[in-house]
Amino acid sequence: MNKETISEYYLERYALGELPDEETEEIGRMAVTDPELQEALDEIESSNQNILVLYPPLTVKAGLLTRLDDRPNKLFPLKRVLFISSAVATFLILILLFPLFKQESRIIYPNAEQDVTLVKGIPTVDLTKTQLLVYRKILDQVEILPDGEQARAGDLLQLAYVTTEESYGMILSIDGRGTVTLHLPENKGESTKLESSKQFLLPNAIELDDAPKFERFFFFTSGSPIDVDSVLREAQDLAKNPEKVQQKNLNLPESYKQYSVLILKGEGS
Amino acid sequence: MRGETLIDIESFYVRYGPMVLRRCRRMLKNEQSAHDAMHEVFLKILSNQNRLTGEYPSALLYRIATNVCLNRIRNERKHSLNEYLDILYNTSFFENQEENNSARNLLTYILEKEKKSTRQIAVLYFVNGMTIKEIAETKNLSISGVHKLLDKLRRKILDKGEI
Repeated sequence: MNKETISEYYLERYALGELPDEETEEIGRMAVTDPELQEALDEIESSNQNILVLYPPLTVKAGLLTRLDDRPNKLFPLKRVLFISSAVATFLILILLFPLFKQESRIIYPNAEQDVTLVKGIPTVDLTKTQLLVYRKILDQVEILPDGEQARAGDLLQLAYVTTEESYGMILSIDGRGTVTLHLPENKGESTKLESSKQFLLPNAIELDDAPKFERFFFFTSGSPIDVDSVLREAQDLAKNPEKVQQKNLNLPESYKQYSVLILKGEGS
Repeated sequence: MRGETLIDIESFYVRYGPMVLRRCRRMLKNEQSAHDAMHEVFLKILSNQNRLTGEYPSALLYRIATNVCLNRIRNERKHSLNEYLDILYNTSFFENQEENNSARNLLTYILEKEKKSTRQIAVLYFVNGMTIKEIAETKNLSISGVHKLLDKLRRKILDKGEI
């Protein structure tokens, strides 16, 4: 096998770790010395992230389930009951858990049919640096919002993080109304363990609501599990003073590292 | 279906969705069509989960994606198949520019005229861009066997004016 004889099919399967050992080792060896091959593999990784931002997993899942439902039902009655139970359970989980996070905002599940666009810009992400990423999708582009960028109510955002060392973390936001929203973990009782050495996209996209002035997203990391309740308490304390929210970090133990992205609400918000 | 699905749809999509979409984009060159095709691929898998018996789902998904896209291309005959010619790899199959012009209708030929076994290998070679060695490994054939089949196809196309 040489560079010219590796097809796209093999590259994709290599990237997924689904080639037989011999081919995997061979391509791996070649990638070490062949920048073009490594670049092709990096592009696959970058494209993966971009596609998952553009078509979030939950949106795709909802679309697939809807289309499965539209198909002729061949299930036996008992299975049909199980299906309905599952759907109801999913719905209940959504409505029971979500109010814990934020009353004013909502998680949106954009209609997949309306959500189809060409990707013109593919943001690149430095995976060697711990960071919080706020993506915005506008028309056919996905962009990373830098700290201090303006956005509007209705903008569709996707949060992601990269962590290189710390094993635990959480993400929350505070808006101009003083509302604190927990984004990661999804539930206060869940683990704060982070995925390291890759970009991790949060499962749900969010739509900026009409809270005034700003929304500041915080990412906290630590070498040990994070006490979500105490961080939320500190966030709520800071949220009492909107001016401070834009400038100050939370009063947390020194072992916690803090990263943030401030989004200023532009005209129309 | 939701109650009986064996696949965790979300994680399955996270793992394989991007590969499938890239494949569909490359073949269909239209984001809407590619997105629809990707859904179709996953619907096929979800409706026939017993097909996921192999060790590597990526191989099955890639093959289904290719077939779904080829069917869409065939069914969208309102568009000229020429629009899709650049999904054909290995156009050096023909030796000169004049012969390369024969590739104009090669896609039609592959889709409509060849028997299934030949069509599969032709698709792997021309559409998937796999090398002869890769095809031989995938189909459990000898390299010379794949060579012979493709050579026969080439001669058939050129000599008999099949396309």
